[in-house]
Amino acid sequence: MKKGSAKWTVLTVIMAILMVVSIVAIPVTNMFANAINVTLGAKTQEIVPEEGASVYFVSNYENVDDLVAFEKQLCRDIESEGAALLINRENTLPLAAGTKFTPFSQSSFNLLYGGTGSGQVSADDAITLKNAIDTVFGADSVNPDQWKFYATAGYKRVNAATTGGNQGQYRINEVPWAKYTDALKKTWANYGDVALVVLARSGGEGADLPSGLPELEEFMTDGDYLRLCKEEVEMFEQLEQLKKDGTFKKIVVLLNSSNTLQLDFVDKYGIDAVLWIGDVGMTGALGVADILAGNVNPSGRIVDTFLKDNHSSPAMQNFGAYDWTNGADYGVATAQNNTDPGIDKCNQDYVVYQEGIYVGYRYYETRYEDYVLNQGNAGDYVYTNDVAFPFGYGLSYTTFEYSNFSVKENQNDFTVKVDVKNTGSVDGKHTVQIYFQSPYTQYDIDNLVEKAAVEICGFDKKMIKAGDTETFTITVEKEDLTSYDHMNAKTYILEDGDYYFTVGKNAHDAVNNILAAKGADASRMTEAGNASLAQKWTNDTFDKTTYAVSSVTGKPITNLFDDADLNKYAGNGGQTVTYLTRHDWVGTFPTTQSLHITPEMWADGLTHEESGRKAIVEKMKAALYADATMPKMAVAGDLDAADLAMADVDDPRYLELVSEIPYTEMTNLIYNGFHLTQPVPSINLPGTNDENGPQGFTKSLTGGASAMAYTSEDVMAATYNLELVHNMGLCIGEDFLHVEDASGTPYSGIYGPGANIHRTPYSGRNFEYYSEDGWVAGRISAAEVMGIQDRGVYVFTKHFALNDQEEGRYGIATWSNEQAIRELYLEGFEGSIVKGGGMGVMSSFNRLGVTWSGAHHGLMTGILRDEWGMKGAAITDCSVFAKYMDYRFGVLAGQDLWDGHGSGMATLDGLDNDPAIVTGVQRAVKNIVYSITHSHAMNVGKATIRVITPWWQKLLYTLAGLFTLGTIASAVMMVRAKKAAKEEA
Amino acid sequence: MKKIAAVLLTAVMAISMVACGGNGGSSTPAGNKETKAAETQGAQEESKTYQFEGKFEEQGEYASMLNNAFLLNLNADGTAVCDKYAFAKYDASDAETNPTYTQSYLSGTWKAVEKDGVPCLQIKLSYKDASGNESNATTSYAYDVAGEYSFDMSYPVTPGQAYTRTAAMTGKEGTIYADDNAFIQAYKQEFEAPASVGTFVDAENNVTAYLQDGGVMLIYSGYDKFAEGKWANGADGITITLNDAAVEVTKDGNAASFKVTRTMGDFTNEYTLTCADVTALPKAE
Repeated sequence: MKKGSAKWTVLTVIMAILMVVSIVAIPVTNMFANAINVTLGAKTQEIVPEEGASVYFVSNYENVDDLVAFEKQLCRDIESEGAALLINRENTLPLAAGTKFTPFSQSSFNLLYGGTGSGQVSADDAITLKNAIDTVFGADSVNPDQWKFYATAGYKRVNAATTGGNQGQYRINEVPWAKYTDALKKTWANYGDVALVVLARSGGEGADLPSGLPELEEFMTDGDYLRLCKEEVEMFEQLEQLKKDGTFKKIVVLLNSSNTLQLDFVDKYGIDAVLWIGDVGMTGALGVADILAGNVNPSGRIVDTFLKDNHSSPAMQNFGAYDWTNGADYGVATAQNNTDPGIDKCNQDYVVYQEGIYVGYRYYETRYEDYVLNQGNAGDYVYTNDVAFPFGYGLSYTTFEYSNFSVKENQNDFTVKVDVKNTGSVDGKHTVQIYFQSPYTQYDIDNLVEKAAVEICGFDKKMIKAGDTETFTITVEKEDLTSYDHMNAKTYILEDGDYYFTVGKNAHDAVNNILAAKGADASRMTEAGNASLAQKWTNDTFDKTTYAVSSVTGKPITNLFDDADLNKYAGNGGQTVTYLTRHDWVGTFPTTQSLHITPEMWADGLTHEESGRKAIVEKMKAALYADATMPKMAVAGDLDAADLAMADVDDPRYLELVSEIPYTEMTNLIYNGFHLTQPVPSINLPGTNDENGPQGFTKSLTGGASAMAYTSEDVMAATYNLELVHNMGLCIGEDFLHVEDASGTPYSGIYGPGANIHRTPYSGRNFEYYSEDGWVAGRISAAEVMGIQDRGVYVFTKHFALNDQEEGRYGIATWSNEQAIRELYLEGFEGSIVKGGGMGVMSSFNRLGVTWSGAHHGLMTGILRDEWGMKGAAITDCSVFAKYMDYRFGVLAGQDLWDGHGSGMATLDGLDNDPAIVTGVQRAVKNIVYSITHSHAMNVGKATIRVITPWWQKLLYTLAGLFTLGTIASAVMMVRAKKAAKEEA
Repeated sequence: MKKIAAVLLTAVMAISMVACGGNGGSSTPAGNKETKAAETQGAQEESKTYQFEGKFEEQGEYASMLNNAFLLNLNADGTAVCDKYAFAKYDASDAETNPTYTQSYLSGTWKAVEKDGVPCLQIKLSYKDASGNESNATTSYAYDVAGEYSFDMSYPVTPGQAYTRTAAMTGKEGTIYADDNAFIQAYKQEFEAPASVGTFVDAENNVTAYLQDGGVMLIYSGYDKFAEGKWANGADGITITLNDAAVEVTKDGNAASFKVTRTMGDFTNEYTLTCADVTALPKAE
């Protein structure tokens, strides 16, 4: 008997412990419910569509196979129109049918299809180079033994890890020449028409490319990833000899990278042709083969300046993450990723954009002009020492001639015309590039307004048959000729003086045309320009009013980024920067900047102490919300989100709709936007899924039926074909339309495109960005965004803004002047939103000055809403654990949605009685609701959105209940057993 | 009454077993692991088997969430099964009951093919949830390089989303590990406490403050570091600083203690850490 009661006693204790554990687990796991749901893929909503609902967005493809087939061709077309022919000695290309190739470099086997990180694409179904060439040139066109050699040699590129990665992890890993066996060499003669060399360099999220790491010197020349390594040099030396010996007839090089290699070797080693192909995407290798075969006449024009010396740019003097000299005094952290220690603390780094506007061709062409004109202390500048191929360069298999160039002024724009004749024997597409030059005046010198020698301001592309002439008519907006005067007028100005327009084959050709028109000393020029292709326009009036108001909203435009300019920031502690000026090139050429944290910097934005952050919040409230009154919340109402589907952004019902939502539902929506949005039951707003990325919505990452991995963004831009890019946008939208998750939740938002610029060749994510030129980025992104959103998918163009490197990105303090910010770094985003109608942006990890981008009111509200009229949601970059991306800062500044989970940083909790915070929260929610109600998520109509308890919570509740019952039952049995034992005794 | 109680208890035990049993399955030798996939795509007779291993590892305070090792078996019946071991959670217990070991995290098929004329292994994997819904499908090709095969395996950190990481997998024909437990033993990690000259401990809650030479104090809850502060042992005795603020230290003879809180969302725990003998601590200003 005693044994019996002991047994029940033990069981009772066990049940009781399990009961307590399961009951305690309920509130604990609730804290992390969203994170757990995401991790487990647990269903949290059930959408019951309205019967007979309006379907706002319908796929244009009844058959997914048709969509897939179209996309495969589209990717091939983008590559074939974006790849740029750089060298073609003795018309090596195109190659004849029956050409036999021997590929060289392990990268010929491991072709680069895209970058790594969130923008990665799946190479699973990608067309290999061999497959592409065999398809186009015929079976057995590629040396099979060489192909097998590379497949089994064991040499492969190594990239830096996405998180926790560092530059030191990169490896080129080219096969040493000694590994090529005699037996293999004997096969070369049979495939000796072309030695096809692929030079690939991969970029990715999380780490920039090494540009001179001593610890990498045994693996790459001078520790520089973008230089030929010794194995590649030896390979070229051997190929040169083999060509002389007659083993190979031609040497053709494919530059397979969005990070431009240092091209100091292309005139050596007997290289016959060089084709830049970027990252080719899933079927782009076929486009490359099409070019090699002459099936497509190459028409791509490079969107970066390709250099002989990658370190020659002024930006390279301040590229990287520089440690505050006194960071230790403030306990700053080295955090580079969300999982690094100290992610909740201030980042230890800063970077200074000392070069100002002189990035890429703006530097090289401007300094060249000043050298020619013998002004600006340009020094003994030798352009050809630095530049291999200028911005906009690209050859064709035919030739084109320009004539009858004319510019006609209209009220708000110019009509630029030029006739283009195809003087060759092959049909071909041609891109006309229009450049302008703004006068560099004494006013500019006095007020630190910098002017590039040329800027691209218009382009168009057409097919021109051999022998035919086409007239190109391009509109150039006067607004694009303005400069930002951040010192005196503090707005956009159109100065009086002589402007020049020109049509140039590239940016350098454009400058030479203008120099010729000015009568410059030809002996100092690299080549004679064509004055007939340049036209002067004299502006009589200094205009500082017309462009001082937004053409979109009518609101005034004035300085918003004084706090990002070290020279103007009140708390600089006497630290200033001398920006590079064309008035004194040699005297102001950038040098590495050394900065320390001042108490003001700490208080204004760097602080990681809660007391400091609270003080910032109070300052923001006082400055921005002094007159805020408490909005209404949780008001009973009849409006559903579906009632506002496709409604105008100013529809007054939005206010009523948002006021129906309780505070906790609003914060739940704002907090938890990690690749999704939460359902909002009070207004029947369905939850959605959001996904990457800039190269398209790639199926294998999420399991969608279709989904194409397109080329890198620079190849897209290099097509200069807006129709092609627009079609790609439509297809990306179609891919999203064709996917939903297991719960029926649609994918309705894309984290992309990327619109930062290529400040240097070494940024890890250059493959996700279009160009070194922000204006081109803006035009291309507009075309893409219009296509994507046409299919009911809202965009988050990223990363807004000045996220032009990976090193130190988590909170690095980025210093720049407002002219450069507006004219270079914001232009891509402006195009996406103003021209493309882009609904949203993704703010960036970095700080502008000392203020995190999402907390910068000038950026998130002044620019996005007041100047550009953006209508939808601004999401953060991944905010998991990143406490510096404080919710309070963000909602007060204009940030709407956080790409993370609220766990551990839910700083809006308990502030539902704060008028400023609630005002910001409601504004944020409205913007999020706008995006969703203008997407195909509304195809469900006035659906019933049932928030359901995820399975793991149900299980937990069930267990808690069962353990409770078990405890009671065994306790009863224990008591009965003891009673029985007592009675027996 | 007795019978009702017994039935209830039986039900509770049964359900608990199912809930806690993970993916279940018998412990089979690694080379003959059965697939958990709902279907095999193009399963075919293959007399050979292969086994691959690999891992993703990064350094960082929360990296334990992402750090995983993978054991991939290509079975004779053409199925492919990939287990996942979260080694950074420091649990090397039996695979059958180890909560950090996920059997069949990814599954699919494999076959020997020729790609562009080169023999290789085509490995198709995907994540399948409890309902059999498939996501994150990948196709990889592994080539024979002197008897070793390798490929980069993209796996979902968050199934169903494009939040993925890449593990470099290497393998060979036959087996590397006799079974799951051998794999676990090969990849297990031992928690290394940070170097310290002394500690304050809350034994009940498994929280430890490590006092390091140089005045740094690291506070761990289990294996997770959640706070960092400073300590000193000067003329006035032991002082503790957290978040740049002095923390009250209570003395009781040679012992001393202080309190620290850890907040996760709205949930806050307070711990009392005690050092039994502060006189044994080195003097440090």
